[in-house]
Amino acid sequence: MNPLERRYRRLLLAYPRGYRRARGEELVTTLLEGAPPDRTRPAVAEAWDLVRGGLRQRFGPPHGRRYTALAVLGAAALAWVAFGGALRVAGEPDPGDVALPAAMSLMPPDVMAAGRAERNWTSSGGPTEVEVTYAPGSRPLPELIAALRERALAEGWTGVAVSATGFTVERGGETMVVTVGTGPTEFGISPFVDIRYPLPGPLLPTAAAAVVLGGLTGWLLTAWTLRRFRSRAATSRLAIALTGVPALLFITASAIGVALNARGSTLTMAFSAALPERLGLLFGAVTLVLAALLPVERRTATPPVDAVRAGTRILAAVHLAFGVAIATVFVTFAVRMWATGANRAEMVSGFHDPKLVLPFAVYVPVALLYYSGVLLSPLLLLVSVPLLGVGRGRVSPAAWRVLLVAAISAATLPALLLTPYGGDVARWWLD
Amino acid sequence: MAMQEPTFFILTALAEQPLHGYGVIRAVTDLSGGRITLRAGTLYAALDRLTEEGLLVVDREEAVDGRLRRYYRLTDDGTTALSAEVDRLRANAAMAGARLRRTTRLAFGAGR
Repeated sequence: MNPLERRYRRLLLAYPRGYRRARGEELVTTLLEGAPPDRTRPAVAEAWDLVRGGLRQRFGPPHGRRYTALAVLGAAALAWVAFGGALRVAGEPDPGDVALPAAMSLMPPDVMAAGRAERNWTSSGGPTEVEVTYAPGSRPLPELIAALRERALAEGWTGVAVSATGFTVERGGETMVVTVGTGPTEFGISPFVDIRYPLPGPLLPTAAAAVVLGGLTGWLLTAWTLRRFRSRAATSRLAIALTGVPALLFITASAIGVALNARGSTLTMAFSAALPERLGLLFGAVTLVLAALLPVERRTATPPVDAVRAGTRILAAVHLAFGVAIATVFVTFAVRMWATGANRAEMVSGFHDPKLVLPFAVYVPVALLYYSGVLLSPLLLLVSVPLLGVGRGRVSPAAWRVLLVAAISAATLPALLLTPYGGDVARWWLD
Repeated sequence: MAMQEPTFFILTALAEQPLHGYGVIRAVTDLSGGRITLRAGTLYAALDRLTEEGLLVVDREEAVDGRLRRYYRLTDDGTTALSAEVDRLRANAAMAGARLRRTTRLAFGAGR
């Protein structure tokens, strides 16, 4: 072996072993045939091209824009999870515990007030922003501002600035910007206090490191999953997609929910809670296990899998699993009501906590499936209804009927939750 | 969707006869008038992808001086894909040519 060949072979180590076994010899031939007779070392551009090709084989997603987009989404999702996780671990105990009472103490003691404190993800190390909204028809604004500011000074804050819509005060290195306005308040006539406190400035490097590491891990894991996905049989692909897509959707939903919440929207409350993020991570973990365990497609011996038949079976199973969970919630509610003689108002009062009614080992899977079912059933119906049309005659009548029943259950059970009775059941379950 | 230029030249190189790796590189350089020089890493990434898409298959293997040469040839799908691209390019070129002729004539007309 001459030195040039040895050097080429060393560069080929950038490729995964399986790839080298399949292509290595051929690649060396091509490289040596292309080299001018006097060459003893690979050209820099050529070496870089090989290293890049090898790294792409090892760590990149399969070729195609859709795969790249998914890998980017996976990277962003894990960057987000790592970001939140790092802040929870490294952050001091919730500064909202300090910010909320501080802002509430500005309100006169004889006035009922409600408030909400959210971390402000969009700034770091800035002032705490307090927005006080009075119901229309309160005293004139300048009077309200003056009264609040007086209380702030009495509480030991130092005045920094006053404007037409509010004031800024300072205490012990902490700055609070108070804006006063009138408008619909979320809790009837009492004033509403909305507080946004910033991310602590010193945490910024930790958060940045978490984003980079999380993003990198997300990229590598998604690319790996997609490469496995590419070489699996149709049923395996469907299974990986049915867990992988919800994983990304749940984490994206939680990220959007938290981001919008921090900007004062209450519409996305349900998604900013920890559950969607955890569900996303759970689905993600299942996806990785599936990608690791499902065997590579054998192209020769087995007949090709019919996607319609496989899809019918899998969708029916998923719909039914969701349906059983939602039905379990309804039945538990009804049985509990009957057994204890309670009425619906008493059921939602908190005395009949579902976590205590059902054993934990039953509660957790039912809760996960119930929550996923409510969120995903409408989406899955978008697939299963067309599949009912396509599959008629192509799948066995029994399988078709099972999917029909499953799809009907997926449409009716979540819809039942929208009835007054179902609403009480949903409230009871979520409380 | 438009085919990328290296892909187009690789398929064109294989349209006439099966070629091995270095044969493809040389043919692409010739066909593109020296404009495109494929490097081995890029070439094999493209060959992998085109094989996976069913546009190419391995034609045969040969051992020359104890070195492995693998020859590739276009499949029917590959020929179809290349013809479609040729039609697309031809239509584009015809359209652009017609427009150019019209503007040139107008320019001459205005000058007179």
